[in-house]
Amino acid sequence: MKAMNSQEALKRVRFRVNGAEREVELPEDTPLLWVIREELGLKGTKFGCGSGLCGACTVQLGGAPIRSCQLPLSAVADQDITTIEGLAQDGVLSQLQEAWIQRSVPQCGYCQSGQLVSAAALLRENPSPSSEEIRSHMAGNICRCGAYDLIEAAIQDAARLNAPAEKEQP
Amino acid sequence: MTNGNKHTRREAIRISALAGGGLAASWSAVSETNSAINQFFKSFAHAAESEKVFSLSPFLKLHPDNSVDFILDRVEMGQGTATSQAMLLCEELNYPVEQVRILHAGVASDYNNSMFQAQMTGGSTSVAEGHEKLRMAGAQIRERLRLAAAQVWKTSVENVDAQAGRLRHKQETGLELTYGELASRAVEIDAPSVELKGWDVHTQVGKRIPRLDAKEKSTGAAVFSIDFAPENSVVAGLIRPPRPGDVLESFDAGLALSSPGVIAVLAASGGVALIAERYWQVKKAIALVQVQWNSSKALRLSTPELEQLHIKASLEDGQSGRSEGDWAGVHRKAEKKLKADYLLPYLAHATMEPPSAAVRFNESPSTKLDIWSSCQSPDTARELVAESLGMGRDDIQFHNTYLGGGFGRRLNPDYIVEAARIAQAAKDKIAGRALQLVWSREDDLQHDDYRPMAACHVLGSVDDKGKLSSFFFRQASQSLLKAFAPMTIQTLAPEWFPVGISSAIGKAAAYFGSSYIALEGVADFPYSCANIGVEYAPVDLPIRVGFWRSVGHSINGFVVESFMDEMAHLAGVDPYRFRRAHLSDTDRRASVLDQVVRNAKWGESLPPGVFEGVAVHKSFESYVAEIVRLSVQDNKVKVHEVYCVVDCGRVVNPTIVEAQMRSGIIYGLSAALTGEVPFVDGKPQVNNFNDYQVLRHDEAPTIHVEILASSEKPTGVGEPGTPPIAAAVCNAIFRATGKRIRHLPINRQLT
Repeated sequence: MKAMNSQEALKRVRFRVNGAEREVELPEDTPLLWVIREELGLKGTKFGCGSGLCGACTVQLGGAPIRSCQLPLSAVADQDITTIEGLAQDGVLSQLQEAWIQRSVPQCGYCQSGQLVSAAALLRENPSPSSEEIRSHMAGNICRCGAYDLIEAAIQDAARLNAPAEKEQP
Repeated sequence: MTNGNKHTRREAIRISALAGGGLAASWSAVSETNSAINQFFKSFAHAAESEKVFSLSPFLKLHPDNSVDFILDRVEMGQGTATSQAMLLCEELNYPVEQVRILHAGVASDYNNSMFQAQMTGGSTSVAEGHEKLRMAGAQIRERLRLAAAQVWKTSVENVDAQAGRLRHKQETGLELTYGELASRAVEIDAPSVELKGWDVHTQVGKRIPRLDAKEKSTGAAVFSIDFAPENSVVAGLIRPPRPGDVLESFDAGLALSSPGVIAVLAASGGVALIAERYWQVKKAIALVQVQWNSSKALRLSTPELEQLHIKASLEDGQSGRSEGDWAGVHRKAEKKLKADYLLPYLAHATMEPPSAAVRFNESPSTKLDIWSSCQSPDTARELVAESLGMGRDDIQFHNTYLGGGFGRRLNPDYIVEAARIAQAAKDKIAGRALQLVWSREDDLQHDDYRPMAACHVLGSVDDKGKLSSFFFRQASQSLLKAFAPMTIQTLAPEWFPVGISSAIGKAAAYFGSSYIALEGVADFPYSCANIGVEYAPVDLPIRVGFWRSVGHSINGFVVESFMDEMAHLAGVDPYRFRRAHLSDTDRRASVLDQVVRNAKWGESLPPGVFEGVAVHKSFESYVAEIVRLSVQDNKVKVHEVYCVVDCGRVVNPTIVEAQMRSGIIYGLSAALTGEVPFVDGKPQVNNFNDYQVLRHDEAPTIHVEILASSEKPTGVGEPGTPPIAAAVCNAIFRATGKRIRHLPINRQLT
């Protein structure tokens, strides 16, 4: 049965995922989402729509949030990819993740990987975002459970933790 | 697990109860369950002895190292059952709930929801139905552990204190044992009868304990259905009939078969299945399959025709759900009266996680088929797979996972049955490998079981004192039970019960029960009025319909609370005061209404361009009032804030209750603004989130929730936030624009 199939035009691509060197050999149009999930076995990044509309597949490419279902493998050669699994460092959760847990932000949880990766990218770019900036940046991440209020609150919590220390009041 | 013979009589009783009076069960079933749990202890515990873990209850396994597995009877789909159910048991057990590990239960009648007599998560019932049984389970385990310690210390049980997972001798300090150390002994001890703690002394229940699943859902570690398939699985996609009633005629798989990684293309489950090594290979190849459908018996209607069918039915006599006084006569003679026709569209669920299921046939004699998926009704899933494949129930093991959004969609196990059928049909081609069927977003939106379309014909009048004098409501819609009742009855019936008879009973239950569901939230019209008529007119169409968050209330909440505003306007009275004048002070709707009005400062001055609207609704025994503040600019609605007050009786976890109110509001608001599934020539015209638009972060209002303190029994919160929101929004839009919206979604009406 397999002999009947046309040969896949495979491409060997090297890139870094969460700081680790990875190499895969797959058709170059394979979306990064499926490379991450099926080839690398990292299931935290989710499939929600396959059309770049819902944000569940969000990863960071060189620190910038992108929809991995729309990015072909060929575009990630020698690039740095960060997935949800990469937000924690050496088993220590990021402040954003701690805020998420303290606030009990996740409900069903399916969109949350994408939400966190998007939020982490926002805070790196803009450590003190306004409510409007948060809402605008996060608009690409759908949450059908409606956790938007708490997502925003957790982002603000993390932003406050990282704010420069207040001057001592006399 | 379950012994078919032992449960025959009990199941036969359930069937006749069901055929008699719809799907509601009485609360006495809870106490019946308590004694059943007690009797089940010994057999369950002995079965687990070979592992070094002790099953002290269907809900709890205790390890010698004092760690605890809580077996979750209800699927965790965001509504917080993993946390609240565990809190209830741990409260009585005297064990810190933060330390438990959550495992999803397999299929067993011990996990039945007595409201449905089936293992079902839905109807906002998990806490309401489970709180007593879970607390009792925790209390009984605690007492068995105390008795075990008393045995070891050769003292009376009164001298044993059980706190935070440890037992202490009250007199002799230093004599201490952990629960785990006494597990093997406790397993041999019968539970004594025990009183539950009073609600007011709870140390865990009622507290804002962070969700137990928050960490794994914040690190990508949580496993959903789509994330799990055994090693060496294959992946499948399915091409389904585009129209209800389309029948597969032929297909041409030539191109697809030679596509990389494709293993097979075959007719299965009413469509054409394509199996490949990886998802992306499925996705690419499936587009190459040419399929011919025979549409001679298919639905060929488009939305305007569907709407006309519903409107026509709403104007003809229906089944009566309530009748008091002479609404027709009073309305005819009234001077101040109104006739209003409302129209609501088909709605998709659009859960964040598209459906998927993995199945594997085994050579093993005990479990012939394993299923891994996430589902709101695993016993129904197992039953339908068993029936479809000609297997016994006990041949099948169902492994439930976290569910990326249910909202009622996953009560229907169609995607699981599909996976099993495809794997069966392709058995020789996949040779023992597991098969995972993955639905695309397009599949999910096009092959959903939709919230039904509804046409509601409403009449009302007010007297010269500005009080309601007549109210008539007739809803025309497709019956939800037509498909669900037969499958549920079949699930409950013992295995020897002929499927044909379950199906017939199911059809009867559907006939009698349909108006009960369709009219929920309006048959209990609470506003004082001497002349009331409520009817249901079933519409017969082949479009697949199902339970959508708050079900009948999603329709009736909108219509009733919009109409009440229309009546208030007719009477020249403020919408809040009008409602309040028609509610008794002891009605719990009055309390939530009064409180939300206080919180939102209803009636006080608002910023320019901002208008408010109010609605109150009781659903699933809980009471919710909402006030919306919005603006309308360039025919676009911007909802700024929602104030919500909920009375759900005693609260297990306030953080979770608040989250569910926000969730229900956002879900209902999204649908009200943009939700609809249009049909053209029988085909649903939706593809992805580009045309089925849902509410995003930059459109979401700020939501303020207050939970009213109550000593009433706990009632549901998963759905009750949804019914009032559409009406509150449309009521505010009326004040903003003078335009009364009776046809949803809103965005079509404002252009």
